[in-house]
Amino acid sequence: MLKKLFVYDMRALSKLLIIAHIPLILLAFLLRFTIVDALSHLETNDSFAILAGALLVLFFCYLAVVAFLTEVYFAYYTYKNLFSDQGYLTLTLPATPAQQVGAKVLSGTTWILIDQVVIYLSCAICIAGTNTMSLILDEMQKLPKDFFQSFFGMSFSEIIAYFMGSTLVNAITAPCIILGALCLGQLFSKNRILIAVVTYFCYYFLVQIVASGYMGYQMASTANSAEIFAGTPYATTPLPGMKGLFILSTILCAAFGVLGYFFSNWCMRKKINLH
Amino acid sequence: MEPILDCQNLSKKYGNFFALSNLTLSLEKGQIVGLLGPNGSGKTTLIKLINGLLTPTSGHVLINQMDPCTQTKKIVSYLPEREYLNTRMRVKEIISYFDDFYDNFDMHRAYKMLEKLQINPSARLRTLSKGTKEKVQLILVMSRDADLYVLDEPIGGVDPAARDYILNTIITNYNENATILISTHLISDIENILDRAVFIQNGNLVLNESVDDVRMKYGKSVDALFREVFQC
Repeated sequence: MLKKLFVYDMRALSKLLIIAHIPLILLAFLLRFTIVDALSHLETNDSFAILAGALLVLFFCYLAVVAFLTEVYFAYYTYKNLFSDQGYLTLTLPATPAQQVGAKVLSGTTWILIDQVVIYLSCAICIAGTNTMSLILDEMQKLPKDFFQSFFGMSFSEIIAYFMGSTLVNAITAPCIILGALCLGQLFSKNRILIAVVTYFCYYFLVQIVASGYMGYQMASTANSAEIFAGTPYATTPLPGMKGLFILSTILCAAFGVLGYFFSNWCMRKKINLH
Repeated sequence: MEPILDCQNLSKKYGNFFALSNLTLSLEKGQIVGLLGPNGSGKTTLIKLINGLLTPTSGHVLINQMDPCTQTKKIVSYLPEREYLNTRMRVKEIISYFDDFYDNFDMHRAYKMLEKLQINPSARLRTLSKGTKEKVQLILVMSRDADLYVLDEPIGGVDPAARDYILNTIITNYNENATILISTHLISDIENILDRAVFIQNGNLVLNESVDDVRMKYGKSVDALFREVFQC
C-alpha cells in the first residue's frame, strides 16, 4: 500500500515540478554558451556585460524560485490530498496512518533531492566552460595547502561531505516538518492553514536564531577577532565555529524532522477530524 | 448474527455544540437503511465517524466488530456528499486508482456502467457536468463488492431522472448480503427501496424501525411520518 501511495503522490507532484525544473537546465545551457564561454567580451562590450548581468540575475532568481516552489508545492499538494475534499478519498483508502505519512515523506524527500541535484547540475553546467574551469583551477592552485583547514576548520573533502550530508538531511526532514506543521494546524477548528504556515516559519526562525547566536558567541569568544575581519582572502585565522555551526544546524534540522514525523503519525492516528 | 454496524453511546462535540449525542444504533446485514433527518441533524457526522474521518468525543462505533481501521475501510464503500475526486484526473485514471487500492473493485462492472451512461472514460472529471460527476462517483462506489455501502446524499443535487437512475443503480449493483446506509432528506424518492428507516434529529436517534412497521404502527408512509416528526 505504501508503494502505491508513493507512486500516485510522485505522479501528482511530478506534473508541475518537472515543467518547473526544465527551464532551469535550459537557462544554465543558455548562460554557459552565450555568456560564460564568452567572458573575454565583458571588458570590451558594455551591452554584453549588461546582458550577462541580466541573465545571471535571471538564472539565480529562477533557481531560488524553483527551490522554494518545490517545497511550497509539496505542502500545497499534501494539504489538498489529506485535509481538503480529496481527503474524503485518501483517508478512506485501506492504508494505515503510518503508510499515509510515509508516502508523503518519501515523495517529498524524493522531489527535494531531485530539485537539489538539478540545482547543482545547472550550476555545474554554467561553470563547466573551458574559460571558467581554468580560471577556477588557477585560483585554487594559488591557495595555501591548508587553506580550508585553517579558514573553516574543515578540510575541502569534509566541506563537500557536509554539503552532501546536509542536502540529504534537509531533503528527509523538510517534508516531515511541513507535514508536522500541517497536522498541527488540523488540531484547531479555525485558521488551520495560517497556523500551519506560522508554525513552519517559527521553526525556520528558531533555527536561524540558534545558529546566529552560536556564531555570535563563537566570534565574541575568539581572542583575535579583529583578524577575522582583516579582509584578506587568505586569512589564516579560521572563521570561528564554522564546523560547529554546520553540525549544530544539521542536528537541529534532524531533531525537528524526527519530531515532525512522529507528531504527524500521532495526529493521523488519533486526532484527525476532516471538516 | 453480529450486526455490520454498531454504535454505542456515540457522541461528537464541536466546542459546546453536540453534533451527535449518545447515539446508540445497530444495523443488521443485508438491509437497505435510510438515515433520514433534516439539514444539520447529524447524518453526515455519523457517516464520517463510521468512515474514520472524525474522532468520537465519546462512545464507539464498530464495523463488523472492529473500530474504523484499514480492515474496515476494505469492506466499507463510501460515497461522500461532496465532490472529492481530483478533477484533473481522467475517468479511466480514477477507475485504475480504485482498482489499485481496493481488492474488491470490479473494473469490468465500472466500465459497463460508464458505457451505459455514455460517459467517455478519457474525459477529465472537470469537463463533466455536476450530475455526471456524481454518477461517476456513484459508479466507483457501487463497483466495489463491499459489506457496507454508505451513501451520503446520493440524490441530493441531481434532476429527478438522474435520481431514478441512481436508485436503480444502487439496487441492481449491490451485493444482496451487504447493507446499504443511505442518508437523505428526499424521503419520497427512496422510500420504496428502504427496508428500514432511522430518523435522526439534533444529533439524537428519534426512530429506528422497519418501513413495514412504520406503515402498520403509524398508518402512514415514512415520508408523511417524516414531515410530521420534523415539521417546522
